[in-house]
Amino acid sequence: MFKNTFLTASVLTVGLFALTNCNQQPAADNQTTAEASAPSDADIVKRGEYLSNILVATTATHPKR
Amino acid sequence: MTPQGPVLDMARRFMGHPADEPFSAADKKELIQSQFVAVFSPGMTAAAGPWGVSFAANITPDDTGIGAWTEAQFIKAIREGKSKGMEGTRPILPPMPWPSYKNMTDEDLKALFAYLKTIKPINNTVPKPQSL
Ligand code: HEM
Repeated sequence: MFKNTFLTASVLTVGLFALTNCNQQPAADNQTTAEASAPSDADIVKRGEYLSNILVATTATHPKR
Repeated sequence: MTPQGPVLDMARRFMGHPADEPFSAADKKELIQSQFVAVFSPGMTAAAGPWGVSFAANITPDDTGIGAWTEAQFIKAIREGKSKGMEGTRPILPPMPWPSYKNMTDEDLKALFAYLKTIKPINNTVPKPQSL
């Protein structure tokens, strides 16, 4: 059981790593475009809101009713 | 608390464990010290485990929260699990998942901090950690 979980996790990690790297290639080619459109302050705050909503999970930090 | 369990109270978001909400696990000390059990408050903002009793921090931009914090402090707190993000402070206790959150990029941590600075400040002095 443990071995299987570990194997699955390893395969997923390697897979994700590969995927992430693939996705980065075109971005690198487009560097000038990316530089030209640096995120605005509003974009950054929006990203922070998005992240916080996920990270806060169902647990602490937000009191419950 | 609802029949479906605790529901996020968005009006009090990020204010941490409410100062007026009592929590004690004194009668479960032995069980907790056996290291087989940890105990949460129903709203899950307070927890007692082998580390003692911890209370979710106020991370609104109030003086009782992270109002006076710099971005660098926030990043250090999450990356190194240092309370207040300062040198020589105590470690941030469980269940704060900083050992996972520390893997966020600088960009994402900065975005989180920028967002937290925009939310409504809530005055709430969270209790200090306690021993069991
Ligand atoms: C948006 C996600 C979150 C952010 C940005 C965040 C941020 C922080 C920060 C900066 C502190 C340190 C406060 C200080 O040093 O005074 C803290 C403490 C704490 N957090 Fe989080 N947190 C988040 C989610 C969570 C979650 C999901 C949990 C629980 C499962 C949690 C539980 C706690 C607890 C118990 C403490 C107090 C620990 C102590 O007193 O040592 N937090 N949090």
